[in-house]
Amino acid sequence: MYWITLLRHGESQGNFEGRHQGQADFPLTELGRQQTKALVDRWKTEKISFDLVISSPLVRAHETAVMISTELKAPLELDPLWMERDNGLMAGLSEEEVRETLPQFDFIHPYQPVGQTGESQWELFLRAGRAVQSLLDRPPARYLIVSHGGLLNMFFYAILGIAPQPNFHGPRFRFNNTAFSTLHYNPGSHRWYVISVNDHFHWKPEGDE
Amino acid sequence: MTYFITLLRHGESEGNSSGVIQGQSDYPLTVKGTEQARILVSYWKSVGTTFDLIISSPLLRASRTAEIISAGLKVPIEYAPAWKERNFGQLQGMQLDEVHQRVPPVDFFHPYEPLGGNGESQLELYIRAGQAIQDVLRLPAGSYLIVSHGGILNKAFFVIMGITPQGHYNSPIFQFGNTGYAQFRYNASSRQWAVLNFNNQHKPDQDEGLNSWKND
Repeated sequence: MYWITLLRHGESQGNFEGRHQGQADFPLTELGRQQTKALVDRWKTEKISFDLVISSPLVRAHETAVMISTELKAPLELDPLWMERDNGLMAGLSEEEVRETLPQFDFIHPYQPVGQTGESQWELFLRAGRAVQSLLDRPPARYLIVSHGGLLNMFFYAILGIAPQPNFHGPRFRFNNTAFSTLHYNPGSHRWYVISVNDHFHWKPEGDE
Repeated sequence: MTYFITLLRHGESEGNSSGVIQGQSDYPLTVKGTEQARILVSYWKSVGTTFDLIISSPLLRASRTAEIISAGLKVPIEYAPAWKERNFGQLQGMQLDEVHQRVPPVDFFHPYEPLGGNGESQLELYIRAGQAIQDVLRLPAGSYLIVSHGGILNKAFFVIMGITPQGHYNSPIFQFGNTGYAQFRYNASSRQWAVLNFNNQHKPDQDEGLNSWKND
């Protein structure tokens, strides 16, 4: 059995400023570090451990992953497959800057590059598929993935059998900062078990929209 | 125009604690199940979660869970048979560990196969869940608590996600422990679903054996 925990990074400077980050590299805020600390304390109390931590190399994920891997004494690997969507010319811009500088579309098909030059929804889905494959090429163990909201949503699509839809339609899986989702996979029956989604009890209860 | 929909599985029932396949046969809550419902009420009170309406399966284990929540949060209940558990046919009332002796395993079962000889197929259960979700979305936008059962709640999840039953053991399972729940937001103008959270009160291995079987 594979035990897979998908974790979104703590609050970053880009989150705090309300920017479209994509692969633009923003560090954690002080709050982001506190969230990660709260998670580490919780996992220590619950005696949660991991055989391997795999993280996106973007600094907001990497910093989150380093704190966890150090505290929980689990080895850490970086893999660019787990990076956030390349959102092209939107990288690092605020909502307002995006409106001012980039064309708006009434209809966005799944193959359309995001931010003119970035990854389409379909390309992000394919990358998430490769991420799933790379994980299951490893032996069954307890894995912690530290990554990003956009990519982790497509990870869910890839394992549940949901294809990307136009206009970014299709269900969204909410990931608050340092929220995690837990999955089990049984390769003997090809069965995925969704155990939890958006668990962030160490930080704030549900309902904070 | 936003719906908040919470899908809740009932507390521990007598059937759960004795390892029986329940389906639509009726078992009351255990003392522990009653306590689980009370704990959930205190938790929801502490974080200010409330609902406009509770819609419950009429089966005892769900209706009793719903009544405890209704009394605690002062929210009215309606009963809807569409939210009853899957009809498990002749498997109902059997011990989980007897099933493999009494029902020979098959190489492959398709999603149209009636369960337990005369029960509901995966597809029939999916269709019933689809109608049940449709019925909720015919109500005015608001906050609804559905109190129901692991098997049909899994198919309600499928309906919301846009995935269909896969046959054999190939469908994903959304693991609802007793009083485990999932919260969704449906934006009626953008027509978009979001999964806000799922099951985050529960330990990962809770009821695993029971659920992994019963959702087939």
